[in-house]
Amino acid sequence: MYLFKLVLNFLSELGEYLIFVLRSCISFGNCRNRFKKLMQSILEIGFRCVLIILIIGLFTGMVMGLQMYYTLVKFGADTALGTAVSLSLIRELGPVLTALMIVGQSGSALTSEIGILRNYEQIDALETMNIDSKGFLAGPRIIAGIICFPILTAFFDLVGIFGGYFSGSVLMGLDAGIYWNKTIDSVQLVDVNGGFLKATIFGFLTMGICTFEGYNAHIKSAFKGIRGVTLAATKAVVKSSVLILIVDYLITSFLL
Amino acid sequence: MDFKLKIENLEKRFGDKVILSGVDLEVDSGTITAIIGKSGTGKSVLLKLMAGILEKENGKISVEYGSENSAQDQKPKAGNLQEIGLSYMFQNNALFDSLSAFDNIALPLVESNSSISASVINQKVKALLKQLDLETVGASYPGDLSGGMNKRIAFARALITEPKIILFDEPTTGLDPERKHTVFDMIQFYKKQFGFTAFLVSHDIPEVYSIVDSIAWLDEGEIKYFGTVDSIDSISDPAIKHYLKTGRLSV
Ligand SMILES: Nc1ncnc2c1ncn2[C@@H]1O[C@H](COP(=O)(O)OP(=O)(O)OP(=O)(O)O)[C@@H](O)[C@H]1O
Ligand SMILES: [Mg+2]
Repeated sequence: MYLFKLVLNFLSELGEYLIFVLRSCISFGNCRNRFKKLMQSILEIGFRCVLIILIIGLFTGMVMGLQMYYTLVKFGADTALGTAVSLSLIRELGPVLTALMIVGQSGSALTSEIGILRNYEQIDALETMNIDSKGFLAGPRIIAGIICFPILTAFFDLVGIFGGYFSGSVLMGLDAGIYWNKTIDSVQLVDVNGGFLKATIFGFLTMGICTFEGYNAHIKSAFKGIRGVTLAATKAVVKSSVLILIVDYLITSFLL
Repeated sequence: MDFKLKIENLEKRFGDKVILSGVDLEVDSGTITAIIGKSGTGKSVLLKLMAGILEKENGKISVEYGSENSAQDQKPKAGNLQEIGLSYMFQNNALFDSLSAFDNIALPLVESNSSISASVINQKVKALLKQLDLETVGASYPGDLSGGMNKRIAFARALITEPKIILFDEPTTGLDPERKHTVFDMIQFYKKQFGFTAFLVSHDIPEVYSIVDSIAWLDEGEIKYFGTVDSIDSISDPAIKHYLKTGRLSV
């Protein structure tokens, strides 16, 4: 019985979430100054994360370069380092880690911001001014997510592959030509597309969750006010992170 | 266009808690009605129901036009005052801290679907800033301004769309006596200029009486008294009479 209720709650929340996300995107289509709003959201969500993505990407690539070099060299397969690093980055780690980082940095801020707007009745104020609050607040953020996630993933992949080169070739002495040749040879367009597909879906889903939790901070949380907002931000990050990993698994099993 | 704003048997609950148990009210256009009552009786809730921010459980909010100009197609839907033009001045102003005073005031026009050109918006906002003595703060952000200035900015934002109905939720709370009167004077002045219909929630008894046409006393979920300021004198119950005259319960 308890389980049944749990499933029912989950489904009804899922439905609410989907309706919210779709309504936000559709209403955004009727908003004024769409380009300006979108640019601002891209700045907020994407631009803010560039530095951290580059740093994390570089170090992820470097660690992978080291670990994989030591493993591969045992089997005398160290020449395959470029293949191993670039494929695991482009297919898996790039989209997943990038999404996790953006959610941690921009997503939590986004939930808090919208939650605070809700708290101070500014969302109600928008409605009384005949401004569609979902289209105004959530729409541009979700669409910015769809745009930013793949671009930042590309940044992550590029510096990551370079990090692998740095560990493998500069530090461990693998021939640089072999690393780059293997990388270029083994990466196919399907891999890149698959990675971007994941990134796009992550962007849509997670920014949807972050705006949804903030927008409903007053209803969904047991508390109102500031605690409601902080709880909403925590929930948004946790739900997004779990969802990223689950969806990643689903898409991977579908693509392979 | 003259109309009557009618609220009939309005009910509102939050969970099991009954806030409004049947509010009836009828006011003429072009009047100011003070809504008074204890803290927590549901005055803000009543305004939010009128603005359509909250869903009512039961009842009707409607606008009726006089028979002399019975243009059927101009009648808005019952319960939706938005359609004839409504502004809400929130108890806490609800200004956007990320927008300058100018942009806050311009927001309802900038985002409206009736494509007004940027230069017209600019002109309108500038004129209002000037009239409300806010010229110097147009570029400042609400967080950097005093409470009184923010109230005026919120007032300007409510006026910019030239609404037919304005709901003021405690526009003077937290202001010094001098500013209080300035805000009341402003409301009266702009009512004469724009001719809106206003509802004004206030705890400032009897100061608020100087600008209103009638008083609605909300208590225990109902309107317990509705009438003009002068007719308070003819109330028979001395306790109620005392309360409405002074805002104090005990004699
Ligand atoms: N969104 C809400 N959810 C649950 N209860 C609410 C909500 N909004 C208001 N209430 C409750 O409704 C009651 C009336 O609140 P309201 O804000 O209308 O009071 P008020 O008359 O405006 O008081 P004040 O003069 O202090 O502003 C309060 O008891 C409040 O707790
Ligand atoms: Mg109130």
